[in-house]
Amino acid sequence: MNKLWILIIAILPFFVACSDDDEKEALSNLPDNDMNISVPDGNGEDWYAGMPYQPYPGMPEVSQGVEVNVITVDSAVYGDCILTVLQNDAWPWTLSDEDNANLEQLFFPVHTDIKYHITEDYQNFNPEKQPCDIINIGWCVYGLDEAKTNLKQLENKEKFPTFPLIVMAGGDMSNSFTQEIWDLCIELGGLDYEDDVAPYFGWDPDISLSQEQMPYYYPGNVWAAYITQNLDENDHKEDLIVVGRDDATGNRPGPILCERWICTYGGFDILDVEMSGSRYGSAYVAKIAAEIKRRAPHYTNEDIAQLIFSTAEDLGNPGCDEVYGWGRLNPVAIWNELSNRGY
Amino acid sequence: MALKRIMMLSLLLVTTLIACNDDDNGSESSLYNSGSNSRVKRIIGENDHWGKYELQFNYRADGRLDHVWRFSDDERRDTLGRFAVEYDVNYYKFEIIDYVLNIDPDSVSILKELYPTSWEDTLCERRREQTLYSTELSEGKLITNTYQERRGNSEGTLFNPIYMNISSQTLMVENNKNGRPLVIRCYEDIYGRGSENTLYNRTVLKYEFEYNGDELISVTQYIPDSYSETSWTKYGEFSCSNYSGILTGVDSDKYKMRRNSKQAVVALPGENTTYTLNDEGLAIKMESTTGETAVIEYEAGSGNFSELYATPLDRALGKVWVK
Repeated sequence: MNKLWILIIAILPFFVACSDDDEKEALSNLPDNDMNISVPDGNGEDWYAGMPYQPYPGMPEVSQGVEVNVITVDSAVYGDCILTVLQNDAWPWTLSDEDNANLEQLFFPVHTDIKYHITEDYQNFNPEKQPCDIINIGWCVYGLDEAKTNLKQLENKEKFPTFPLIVMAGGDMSNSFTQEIWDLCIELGGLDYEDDVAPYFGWDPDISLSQEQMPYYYPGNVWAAYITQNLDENDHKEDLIVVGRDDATGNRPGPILCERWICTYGGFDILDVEMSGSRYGSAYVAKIAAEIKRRAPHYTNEDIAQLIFSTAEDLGNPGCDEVYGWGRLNPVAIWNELSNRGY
Repeated sequence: MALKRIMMLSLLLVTTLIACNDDDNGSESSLYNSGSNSRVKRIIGENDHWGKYELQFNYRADGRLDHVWRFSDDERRDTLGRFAVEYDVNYYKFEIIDYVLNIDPDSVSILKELYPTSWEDTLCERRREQTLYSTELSEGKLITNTYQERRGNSEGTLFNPIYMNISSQTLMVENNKNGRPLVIRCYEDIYGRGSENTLYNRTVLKYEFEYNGDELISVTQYIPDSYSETSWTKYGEFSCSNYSGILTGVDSDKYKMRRNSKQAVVALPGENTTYTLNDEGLAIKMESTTGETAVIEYEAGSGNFSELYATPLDRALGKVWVK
């Protein structure tokens, strides 16, 4: 019996050793460690929307020392969204495999030489009298008078000492700007469906559109047509780029706008929400145009436009057509061509 | 006869010794005091997603977590979310749920104008639940899902309160005889952005744990060999350091951990989180370089919160400091 007690006493320390106190003691006796650790931030991706500035492959690192200024005119509701496209915070909602293979040349942080300004003042596109190389117009104009007034604003040398390149949205209504539509526009002074078109034909604007009425429902940007058709001999055709959607779901240029028409993405991923419309595509083209101007500051508006048109990926019928204009904007080909030209 | 009694007594003591180890938390026992009879009671903190918040933990009689309420930090103490748990045999589901407004701020302003005395009650009726994070143990697999509020959900045309699924993980754990992970097989799915949010990139990984006695000395990460379905290629390694059976450091390319008696530091890419530890090795304060802070209070009692919200992999690698 005594042996039993001796054994119990011998085993007891093992039991005590397993107590919480022992673990607590071990925890309190941990050696001081070098706590100064870190893991570099790779963000998991090399190239992503909203990334800090990095040049895309082939981008000349050296600044030309010339600022490029872009003014966007649109309502405040859209202005912030458009800014995300201009500033590389928003990429297209859908990226093809080809886009993914060329991400760095398609979507890149804005160079510090490029400055963006936004206004929703439709009566005064340049209230701050900023320098302006490119003006990005996100909304569609449906009246000839408004088109004329808007163009006069850009011709005002006080506000725009140099006439800017106009990058304008083509609209999103799936119609075509035909010769017949343009003739009607001249006759009516505009193509606003409720104010001009429906009263002319005697249609009730409040009932659903019939097949006959459909092609007349906001068929395109009258301001763009005013310029391309050189009405009033405004002589600004070479200062214009009109932007449509590359899935052909928006308005189509028809014969009236096709010579100044380029297509690009129709929908963008703006802060995780899909936003569709040619106003966003227009902002994207303005961003690419600004980068061309930065690399080749002496390029005229027509030089920039022709570079964009001539490098586009042809869509639809060969050459410039009435559905896709010059085709899909192709920044990779633009940068290659600029490099070939020594810029 | 005496010998028989001694053997019986020894057996009893050995059983007590095993009970002294935390069977359920095998992977945690090398971090904090496994025998600690503490469980988180309240967390008051601030982060980017919730702003200032207070979490209040409620347990069942058997010690398992029942639910957590998330309150606003003002005197109204509105309930802004909850943690929910469902249990069944060999099954649980844990969810962190936010109550989000189903109407945009412009509509809120209109309600406020129309019903100046009761608009806040109306808002409570216009909320919907969105899961921010979930874990589910089912048929031996642990599945985690992480969601994210849309950055542009706040107003006007962008208003969309539905959270996006950004990643999920499926883990199958094989434990050793001490209840600690020996092999973890894992799918990690990262969901795309934009139109690709319904698509994901899957990475298949295997983690092999190597122990020296009871001390974890390394975790090796493997990916499947492209040329052979049954072979694996080494992809990464976590090397571990220990002191008296306690994990004191982990080092790898994308994750590091250090701890001493008063602090633990967890480093992820571009982000460090420092935990101030109590005598039992449990975090009582948390501060991260991203600005996130928390003060953690405990109460006596057994609990299972860390088992619900954290994966065995995270617990084994020393990422989990709240019990």
